[in-house]
Amino acid sequence: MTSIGFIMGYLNLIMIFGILSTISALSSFGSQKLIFWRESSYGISISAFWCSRMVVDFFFIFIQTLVWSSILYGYITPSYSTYAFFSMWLGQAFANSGVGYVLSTIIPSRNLTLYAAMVTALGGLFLSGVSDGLKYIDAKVAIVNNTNTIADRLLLYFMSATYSRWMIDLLSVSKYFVCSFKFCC
Amino acid sequence: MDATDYFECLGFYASPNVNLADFFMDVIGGTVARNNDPGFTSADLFLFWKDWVVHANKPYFELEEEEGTAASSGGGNGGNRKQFERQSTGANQHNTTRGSSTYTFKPNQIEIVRRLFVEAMVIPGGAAERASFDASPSIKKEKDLHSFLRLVSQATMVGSITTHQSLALGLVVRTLFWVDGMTGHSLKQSMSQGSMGEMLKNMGEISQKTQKTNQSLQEIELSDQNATNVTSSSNGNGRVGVLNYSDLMFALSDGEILSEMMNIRLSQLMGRTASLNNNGADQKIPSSRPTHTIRERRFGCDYIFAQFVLYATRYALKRRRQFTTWLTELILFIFGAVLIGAITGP
Repeated sequence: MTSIGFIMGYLNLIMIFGILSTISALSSFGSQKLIFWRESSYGISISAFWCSRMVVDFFFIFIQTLVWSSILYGYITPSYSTYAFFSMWLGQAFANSGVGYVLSTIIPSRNLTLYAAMVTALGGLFLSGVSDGLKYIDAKVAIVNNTNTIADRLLLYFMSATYSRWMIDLLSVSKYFVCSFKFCC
Repeated sequence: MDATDYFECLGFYASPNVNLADFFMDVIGGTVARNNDPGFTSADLFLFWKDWVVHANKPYFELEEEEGTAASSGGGNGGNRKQFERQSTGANQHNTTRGSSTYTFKPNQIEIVRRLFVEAMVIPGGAAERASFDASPSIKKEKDLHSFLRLVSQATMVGSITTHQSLALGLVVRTLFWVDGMTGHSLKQSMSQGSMGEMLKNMGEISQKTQKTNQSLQEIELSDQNATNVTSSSNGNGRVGVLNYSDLMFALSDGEILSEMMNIRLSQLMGRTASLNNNGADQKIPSSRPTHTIRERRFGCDYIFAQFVLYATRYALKRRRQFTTWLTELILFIFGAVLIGAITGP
């Protein structure tokens, strides 16, 4: 059975990696807003602008995730493959970089790093479902038993949009059920 | 003045080996700190540019090479500068840049113009005439005006005044000569009666209403090419106008008035309605904002890929320049992985 201590340990990993990934992605769109506004006013393709940043950033995200997962693999020594372990972290890095992109476009640049770290940490902590017990599982059980409240449903919706909840699911499941997917093993 | 000079004026100094285009893009992006301005944000560039557009057409905004140090030091040239500014009446922000123009005159050059003016005047030897000269020296004959302008040309060839100053002087002299003769009062009197903008506007309206002015001015242009014909057609004396010494000195000592005088004359030569007064509520602001609106352009699908490649290349180069920053972030990843991995364990 999955223990709370094991999940909280993984939650630390997920939050630290999430904060680092989010902050490293802040400069991609936040530092050149004026250029984007000026050039978008001339009718340039916004999708081309966005894709170009994403493609270039993905290379750096890939390297960061590779370094992170390769170091962490030696400490955690999971039973599944390195590639599966790396893929999970790469998915989280991709999601957190998206959070960083969004925050960098809506938050003034002076307070950007502070707010990005705060949003990522608080969101990852309180919406992971494990901050005070397995809230996510409790909500799911309540929904299945038809004893749920509106708070349970809202909590479930918020958790569904949180990177930490999905990563905990992935790491927990992978710990006891060796990944058997062809593409990741 | 190119883009490098413009940004250096604003306080952005590129390193010697940096790509200037990339540096400018970084400045626009707000990643470069402005010199002596810790609170600078990239949005301030809009204000700087608007201010630049407003002042770019002012002749005193063009910098001479030696004026930067003179204006900033205020040491050896401080006396001349004070003397120069004492003659100007417009107490506004242009005072600090007035001495930096390629058009405006320094005190010693104004003294040269004064001597040329006196030399151009035909001063009879009688005591009464000399007394009248001291009272209100002026050039009232077209022939004398031409003599004065020829002397100015000679001074330009000698190098006493620059070509720009000579051109400005020619424009201002012709404007003053004809307009003053029609208004009947001097430039200083007009200044004392109202604001400079209104006065210059009135002068422009006078010059518009009188087609004779344009015709005579055109004939003066012809007379510059063939002075003999004009002299004969004007019966030796030429048309009557008034170029007061005090008005000339007053105009030369003030960069803003000099600029407006040049605008009057240039508008007349170009055959269009003179728009002289920037302060007039019924007139359009001539240069403080772009004359064209930004139009959205439509690109085809083939351009999207080209734009993608362009932006990807540009962004890759930017990330390459910020490689050290990224390495710092990577070290943080390594440190975090080691620390949290050791704490979490298998």
